[in-house]
Amino acid sequence: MSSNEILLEKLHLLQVHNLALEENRAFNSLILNGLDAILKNDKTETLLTEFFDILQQAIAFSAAILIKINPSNETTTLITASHPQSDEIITQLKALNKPNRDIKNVFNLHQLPDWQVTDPFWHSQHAMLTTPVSTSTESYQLYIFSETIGAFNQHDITLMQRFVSFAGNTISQFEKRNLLVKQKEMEEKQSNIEQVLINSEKMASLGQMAAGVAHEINNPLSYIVSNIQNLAYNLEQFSHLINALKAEKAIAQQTLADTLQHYQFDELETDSSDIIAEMTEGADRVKEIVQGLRQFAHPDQTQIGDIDITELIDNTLRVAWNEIKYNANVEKHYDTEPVIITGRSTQLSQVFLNLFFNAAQAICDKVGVISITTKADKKNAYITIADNGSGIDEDKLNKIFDPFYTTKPIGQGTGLGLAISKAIIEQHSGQIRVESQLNQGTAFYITLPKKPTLTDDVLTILHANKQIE
Amino acid sequence: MFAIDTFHTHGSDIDKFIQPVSQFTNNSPDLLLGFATTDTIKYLFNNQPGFLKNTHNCLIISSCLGSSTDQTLSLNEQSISLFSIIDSNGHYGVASCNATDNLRENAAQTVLKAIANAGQAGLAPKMVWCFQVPGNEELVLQGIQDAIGQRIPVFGGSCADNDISAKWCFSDTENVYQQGFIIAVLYPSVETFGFYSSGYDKTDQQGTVTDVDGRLLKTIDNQPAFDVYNQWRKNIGLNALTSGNILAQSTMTPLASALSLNDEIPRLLLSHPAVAENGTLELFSNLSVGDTIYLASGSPEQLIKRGDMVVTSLTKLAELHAIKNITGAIIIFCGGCMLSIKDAMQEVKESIAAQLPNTPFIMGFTFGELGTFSDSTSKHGNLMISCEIFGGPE
Repeated sequence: MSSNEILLEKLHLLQVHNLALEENRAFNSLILNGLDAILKNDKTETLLTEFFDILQQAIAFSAAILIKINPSNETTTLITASHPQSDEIITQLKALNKPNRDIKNVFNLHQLPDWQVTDPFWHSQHAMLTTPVSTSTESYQLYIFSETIGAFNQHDITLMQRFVSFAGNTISQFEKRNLLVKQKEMEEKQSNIEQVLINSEKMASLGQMAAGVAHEINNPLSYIVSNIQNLAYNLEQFSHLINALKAEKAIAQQTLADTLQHYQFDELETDSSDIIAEMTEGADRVKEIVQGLRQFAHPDQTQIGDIDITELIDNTLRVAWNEIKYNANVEKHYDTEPVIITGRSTQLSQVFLNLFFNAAQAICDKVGVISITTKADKKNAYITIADNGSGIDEDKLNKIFDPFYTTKPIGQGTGLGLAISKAIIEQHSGQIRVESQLNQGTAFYITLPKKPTLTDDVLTILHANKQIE
Repeated sequence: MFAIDTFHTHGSDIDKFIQPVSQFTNNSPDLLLGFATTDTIKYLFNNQPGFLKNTHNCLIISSCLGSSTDQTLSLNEQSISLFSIIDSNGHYGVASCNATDNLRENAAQTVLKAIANAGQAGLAPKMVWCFQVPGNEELVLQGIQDAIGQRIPVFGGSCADNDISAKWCFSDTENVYQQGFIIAVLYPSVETFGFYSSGYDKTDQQGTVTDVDGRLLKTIDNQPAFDVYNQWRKNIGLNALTSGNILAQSTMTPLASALSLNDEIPRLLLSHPAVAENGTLELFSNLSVGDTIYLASGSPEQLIKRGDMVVTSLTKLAELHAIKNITGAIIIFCGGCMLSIKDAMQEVKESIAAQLPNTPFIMGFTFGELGTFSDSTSKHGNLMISCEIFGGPE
């Protein structure tokens, strides 16, 4: 007989264990249904409402209220209530929850001091279980009610805590997912705006350069035009010479020499060669300038390629030369080895052009020095563009990369040059910083990774993820 | 902070208990439960009023013959065992009542008073303890459930004495009571797990209660209850009992009603026949007309093993809830069962201690046990074991 009693007792004990496992099974079922709800809903509050319908499968309750809590001013917004005329009870609940927001199991609401609800339905509710529900962006409070006194026990609390924790975490992931999508959209919009700003700045730079470029082209053109007149005169003289020679039937050697002497043939010949050489040089100069402008004005934005930084700086200098040459001598301290990086040459050229213009303007009252240094290690290229100009006040130094901040007179600067330069460098995963001392000069330090292994799109997504974390 | 500690002392000179008890309670525990022999309780409170002045929430319950902690078991001499809880993040309240009438209403009011004393008006406790003098345990339980519902576990037992001479008593920090009940409400900051069981099996001897007056069972199947009971004993090969005090002889063959979650695994609530007189049986728990009752069967071997089994199972249950650190346990062991295996009680205590190494526990011997079955129903029964264990802080 005794073995039967022991077996029976063991059965009872196993039954208790089975109930604990059953609790886990019920929770797993809730999770599965919860995940199903997530896949069907795209609004947090609809999802929460559905979650609490699912909760009813595991905990018996007769009414439920879900409110959103605004943490800044402690106001609440009703999300859903299973029964109308809930304003009065929400006011009471708000007062009840003020001291703390832990899970609370009220066995009889009517035992609470100051509990006064007149609506017959809510008056008939006795037990209440309430818990906060926190997502990554919002705070909610869930209340479930029962007409039965002491309807909820520790089993219900445990199940509700676990489910609400799951719901909060899942909705947080849900919100993060939406946030990531929005972040990516914002990144794309920002990229578009930046591109527009870059183009605007470029057009402004073009306008600023127009006079200088016109002057630059005018010089070679003027001596091409002048030499064309000289060449025309020389050709006329050659024509006269040939006609004079044709008039002589038999030309004596002396006569030929006299005629050639008369038309200064040797001078004409030498002069003409010189004229052609000068014209060729002038035409080549114009061609160079036009090519530089074309490269600047019509960049291929999507083209990413290997760039020899030294060569790019020299090309940019050529474009900017008219602005620089009257104010500054350029000292180049280039790395002895070619410094090759991967990037967009037209955008980086725009950065250097902007820095050259700024440097030239900073030393406008004297003939200064613009010093350009390039060097590299295994990972990065380092470019320093320094001048010995007027320098920048300390209180202005931290604003110079801000959009629309300018120290130039109204109408002469867009205030976008350095902001765009910074954006371009950061798009290349690089950094730009400035050091300056008033009346001593300014130096811009640029670091660019030599060979980024990721594309811009991947970088953008990673950046968005980092923001969310 | 959550901590449980136990203390035990025994001997013939109760005056020697005072200093170590005061020292043990000097840290003002949030809740103090004690089991002591009846004379010990009465002597301490009558001669040393205020000896538990550092403890607001206190329940000292008279226990049959003695009591046990994880350190010491003592029977047949004056003794006191104490179990203290310090829980800075929990809430505890105690209230007592010495009324003899309107017990149901008084129980409802008293549990609400205990909740108010805990500063948790309206909030459901994780568990309720109730200890009372034998007689109307079901009414008190009903009253508690009227106030707080039927799903909150109720745990406890009936005060006992050494010889069923109604010397049982209980005390709070103020008084000693020989009637009424004392209730504690617990809002501990740790998880708790409980188990309530009979450890008996039902035989195929069964009948229907046809006449009963409270705890006086008059007829079964319209036959004198004592006659039917004796016939059932004979049917399973045992001798018939003679009228008078049959408490000790009926320990292994009590009556039982089946409270089953399903029919395949009977869950027995036992009624212990104490006195047989004029064909009636006086029980330690209530039955109602129409109840199906069985002759139940127990064995000393099972009574010796069940403490160990229950504690082992509860620690496994805690593990299923990811709680590995057990900080303490309370075992309410039926005084009648204890009397029938008295010589083996040291073995019982040692086997429980082996399952709870370095863990404080207390064990009291009562004349009726309150506990909660796995389906969340709380009941009063006889010859039962009721056990609660406490997990550790997170």
